[in-house]
Amino acid sequence: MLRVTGLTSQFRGRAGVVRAIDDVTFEVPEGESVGIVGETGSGKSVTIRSVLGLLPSYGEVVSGSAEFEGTDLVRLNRARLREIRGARIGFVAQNPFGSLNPVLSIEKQFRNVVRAHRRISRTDLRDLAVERLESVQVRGPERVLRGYAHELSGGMAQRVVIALAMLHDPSLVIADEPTTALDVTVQRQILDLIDAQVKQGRRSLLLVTHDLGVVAQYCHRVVVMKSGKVVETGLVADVFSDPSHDYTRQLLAAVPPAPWADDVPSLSGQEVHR
Amino acid sequence: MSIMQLHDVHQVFRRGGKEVHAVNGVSLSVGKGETVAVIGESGSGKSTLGRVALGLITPTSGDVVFDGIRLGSLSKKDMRALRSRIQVVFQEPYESLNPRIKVGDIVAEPLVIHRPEMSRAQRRDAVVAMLERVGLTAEHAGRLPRNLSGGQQQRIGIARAIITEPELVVLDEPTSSLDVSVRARVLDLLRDLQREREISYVFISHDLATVGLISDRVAVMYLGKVVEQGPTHEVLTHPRHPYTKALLSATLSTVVGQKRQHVPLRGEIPNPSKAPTKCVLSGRCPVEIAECSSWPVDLLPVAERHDVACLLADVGRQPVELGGPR
Amino acid sequence: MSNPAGVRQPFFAPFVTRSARYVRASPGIVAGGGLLLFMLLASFLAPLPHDPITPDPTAVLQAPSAEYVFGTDANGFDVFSRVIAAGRSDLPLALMGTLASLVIGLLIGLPLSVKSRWSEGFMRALDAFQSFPLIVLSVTIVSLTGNDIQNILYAIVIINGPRFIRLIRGEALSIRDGRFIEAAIATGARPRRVVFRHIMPNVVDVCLVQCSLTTANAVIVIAALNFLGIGVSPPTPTWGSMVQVGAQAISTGQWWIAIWPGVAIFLAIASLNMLANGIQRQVEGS
Repeated sequence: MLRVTGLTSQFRGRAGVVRAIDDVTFEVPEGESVGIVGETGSGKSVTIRSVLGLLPSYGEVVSGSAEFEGTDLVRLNRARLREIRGARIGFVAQNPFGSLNPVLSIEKQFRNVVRAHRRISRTDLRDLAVERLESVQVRGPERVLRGYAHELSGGMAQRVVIALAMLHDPSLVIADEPTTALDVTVQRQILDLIDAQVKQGRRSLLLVTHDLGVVAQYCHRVVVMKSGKVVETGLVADVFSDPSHDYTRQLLAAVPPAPWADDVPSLSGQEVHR
Repeated sequence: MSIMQLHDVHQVFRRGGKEVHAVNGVSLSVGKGETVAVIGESGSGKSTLGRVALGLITPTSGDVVFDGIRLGSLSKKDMRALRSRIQVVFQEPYESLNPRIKVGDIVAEPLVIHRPEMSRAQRRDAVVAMLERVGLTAEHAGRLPRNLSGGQQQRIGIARAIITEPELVVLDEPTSSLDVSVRARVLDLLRDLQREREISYVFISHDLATVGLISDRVAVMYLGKVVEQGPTHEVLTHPRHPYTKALLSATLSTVVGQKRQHVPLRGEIPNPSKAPTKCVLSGRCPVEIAECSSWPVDLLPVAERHDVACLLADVGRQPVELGGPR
Repeated sequence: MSNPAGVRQPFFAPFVTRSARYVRASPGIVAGGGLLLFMLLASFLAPLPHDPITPDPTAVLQAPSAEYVFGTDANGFDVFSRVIAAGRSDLPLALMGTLASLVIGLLIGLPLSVKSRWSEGFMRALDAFQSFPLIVLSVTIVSLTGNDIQNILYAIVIINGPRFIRLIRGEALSIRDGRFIEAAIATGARPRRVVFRHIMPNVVDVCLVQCSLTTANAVIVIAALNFLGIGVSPPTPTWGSMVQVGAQAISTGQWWIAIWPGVAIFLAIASLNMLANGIQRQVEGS
């Protein structure tokens, strides 16, 4: 589905050229969820921004490729890349309010996203938008469509962003820390929602996060990054139970142990494992 | 022996003609050398409560008593003097350090204010000793905050807080903006310092996992009220309030497959514009009954030192039976 | 430790260190600052071909030549010598006026950054004051109090002091919301300490930019007042009074008398704006 090979990017700054990611290689197989984990400065965000052509003006991909459905995204021109980004790859960013345009009604934003790729009548668009908002469990979709981003809570705004990202039924969803800006009780709702959307549409997911728990519960595979390099990749089950790299081991050990993990009564009073 | 008590604290802000009831009748006591965690999401009033405990804001009603002294009765001058005994570490390590002041001067400032009798040389020695104690070196004193990493900046914040040997430190999400590996080491440092100096901590956090590591007791806040409080282990292993359960179920384990069933709360936290007239969770609660929306629900003991504000919590002292998943 | 803990810094120390840091390799700062410094040094040190305050009655209204590079005026003064020498009074005066405005801005603007009914009231009063045409006000004041050079200083302060107060207060208000201010208060710092130790070093950047713009403005104010004949005693050369003298001669074809002091004013203002621009970039970059 997505194969990233030897991807290397750098930033130009006052202090000279800084290599942000170096020889990053991993793969997102069809229908699987891959998590990229790492701490601040590990290059996890730079990696997906390189893949999506979203690096800031002072950044550039130096070498490597990101092959998606047979085309190398790194070598595409901007127009073609934008087409793929909207239609074939859905992107969910960390801050939903940064992704939504504050001065356009939600309906206009749906219209813009749809019309960028195909023609649609006003009533069809309305129906489509309502249907998609319902699918991400937005209550009162008609009211939300008429309104603006600032009227939404963080969780609702992120649902709208997800609905917009899924509008063209992308085969790959890329999410950059999609729940970091949200409250704890809302985080899980959003993760479950992304998970459901990905599974229903048999899509692939590339999820960037600093939270090892998210990867453990929502991903098949994991890419562990540190200082711009990939230190370990593999199935989550393998890597988390038997990490082969020291850094992965340190990361896992640093997560507070959960003494209460096993004996918390669940809703119905019995342990539930999934 | 408690060092700080909050008695029925209410805090109402007025913003643009609207009222915000940030804290609605919270009582809390912190023992000597004890860590009390205050858990909640944004809008729960936990940070406001921390500022009330610090005496940075005067509560609308209720009392804050520190070592037998009512903070409300102090003059501004006496309050400033008392600040050497109650200190704070904030969440954002960089924002809480003046970007234009060198690290050594930042750490020295509480001494300049509270120990004017110290000579410059004594102060410098104390600063160096403190920097070394929090895992830095004398070399760091000459740097500006922006030339330090996030973890180092937070160590500076901690050094500044404890250099006057305070009896109580309010830790307002001190580790939540740090990376996991750094977080663990900062928590270790806080625990060691507490053991050495018998400091009491009020640890404000939204992260149950962190709280489980460091605190003796926890108070779970929602919409300005404490909905459950008790010994940490007890609350985390036998939560009684649906909100506590929802929080716990939202914390993801790193053990693959160990995903707890989600306790879903409907919607999101409402705006605290009115004083509660019903159970604070009413409207979002998965097990709500008719009586829940009739009157405010108060904390009642359900076990030894374990209080819960839920009409359904005390029934047969059983964990609440919640309906099946959606 | 390069800076011993808790040393009391002199009032202007942060300004001096910040300024020094900015000079490093920024084209606007080097070019603007260099030109300004050149003009200032030239006015004091350059050997002048003729005495700027002694006219030569035998050489009146001479066009530019090898002897009189910029020509001479109706009284036989050498324009070149006078244009250079005018920098002695115009530039230091503009700088002093700016410095006085800055000090007033700091002393009033910083304490006013406490939100209170009193400070709000003061700002409204300042609004009312600033709504006057201040240059007219200062002309009136200067002409009523006497034709003294220090009155020009007052005029500059009347015009620019309120701008500094407003700017510094606004900046201080936003800094006051910062977490490190809350931390300082929680540490037990007194209000005065919060203002001068914690807020002031953080307004330095905007002040430096404003200072260069204000100096440029002061150059214009001085020229305007001198043009109107205020604050100068005749033989002393100033750009404003020279333009005034030259303006009378333009209609009869002696353009050089007014043009050269005009060019000097232009260069002074251009250099100060370049300086402001360079500092602004440096501030944004850091």
